[in-house]
Amino acid sequence: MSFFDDDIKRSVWDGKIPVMFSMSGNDVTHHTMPAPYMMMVPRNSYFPLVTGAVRDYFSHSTLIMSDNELWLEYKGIPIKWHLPIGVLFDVLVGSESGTQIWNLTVHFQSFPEKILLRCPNEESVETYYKNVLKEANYIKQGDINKLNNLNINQSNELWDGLRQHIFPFFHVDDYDKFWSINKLFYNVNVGGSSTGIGYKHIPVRLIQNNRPYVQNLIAPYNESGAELTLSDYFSKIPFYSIFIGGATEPSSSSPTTTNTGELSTSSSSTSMAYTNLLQYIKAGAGKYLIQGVEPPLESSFLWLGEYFSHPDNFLYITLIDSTNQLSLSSSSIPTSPKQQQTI
Amino acid sequence: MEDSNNNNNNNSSNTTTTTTNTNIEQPSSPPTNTSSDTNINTPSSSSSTTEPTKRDSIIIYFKNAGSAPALKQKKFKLQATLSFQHVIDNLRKQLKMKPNEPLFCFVNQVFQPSPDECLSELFKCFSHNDQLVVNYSNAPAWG
Repeated sequence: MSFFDDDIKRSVWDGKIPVMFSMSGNDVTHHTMPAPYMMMVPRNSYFPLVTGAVRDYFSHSTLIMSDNELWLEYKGIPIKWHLPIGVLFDVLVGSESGTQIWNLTVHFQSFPEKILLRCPNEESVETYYKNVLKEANYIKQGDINKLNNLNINQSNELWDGLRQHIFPFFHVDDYDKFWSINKLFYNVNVGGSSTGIGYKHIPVRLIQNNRPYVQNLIAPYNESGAELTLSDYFSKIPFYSIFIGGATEPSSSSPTTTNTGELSTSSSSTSMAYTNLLQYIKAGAGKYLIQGVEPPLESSFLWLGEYFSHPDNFLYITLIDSTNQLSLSSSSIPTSPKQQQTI
Repeated sequence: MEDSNNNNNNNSSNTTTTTTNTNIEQPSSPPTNTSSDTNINTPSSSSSTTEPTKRDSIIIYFKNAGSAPALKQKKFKLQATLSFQHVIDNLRKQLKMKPNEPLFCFVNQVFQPSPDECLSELFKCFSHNDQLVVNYSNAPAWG
């Protein structure tokens, strides 16, 4: 374990995104449009824990009563509150270069219930969070005894630390509060002695293009007993499992493959050009983000799970397709529609 | 239901609850529950597909807990691409529940999956003996 590891953990926890909340024009009943509400929002949190302040701010500009469930939208895509904010940002904005501020539209009506889960109150977030935490620990340990063994104070401490992460009290360190409990779920000496109690698997979710995540059981060590690396992980994930069979599959858009340097093998469709994700990434066709950064492929997967996981104990890896801008389904973004075919 | 073994020998505890329902439901025809997206499969066929890479459908085994009634037909085959929401909806339909009646669904008596979680992903991580066990209850039994 390196001397700086704890600093890294704290930096990851402190990661923030500048967000500009603007009210939907449909909801304004006042005669002037309210000015947007700007805020630095933690990556390691959930939107319903943030939007209370946003609601208060905009409630003066609308008569649509604000006990309606508030929801957020980005370029026509409703924001899934139940994913960590940082993951949402990487998935929705990660492919755009040079983005400084995340512009979100705030809605007070027409809740898209086919797409979003309902979130009537803060307890919904807590229940949701704790279930994901259970799921992650079940993957990690094979049981959830560590969670069940928490007493009520510890359990509250964990949730309070996460909740107060957004608006910390000046005398309380939310990091210490949260991690004093969360560390109980992380008992492995990463990179140190092999005698430490190993995890069964590392809870990891792979997300691409705002689609449901892919979740596999990934053992922390490979067959020869060495720590798994990020590239080992990517080599285990079949390419088709990510890009085929979803709603927006790239099969029909083969002409756009010539974006970055003629991907050596495939002149036909991109769909089956790669057998696994490692090939795909190494070919430069896609990149990945974990907590907003792209760690080297030779990083230890166990280490990443330990230091780059979100508060729900899952390691979220966002996959961004850089060849055929099939990005967000509602791509009204003017990305030069026809790439020139210069083969 | 206390036993977490996946042997199918827990019918004895279920029969008591099912009998209360049978007078209301259809007569003693073989269980032909017809719903749009579920095909009932016989338990014997469950172990026939063992190809690990790609599967089109998965088997869900429902176990009741608390005072929730048991299902006559406990195993269902669902498309692997569906979300867990379909499991919940389906179960509610089978149990003929009203929209305001509470229902809690757990995987392996451990956690409640997110409704938008894909069944194939749950199956990959949490299935035993080629089936995904979903425990349901009308109270948060393992909360």
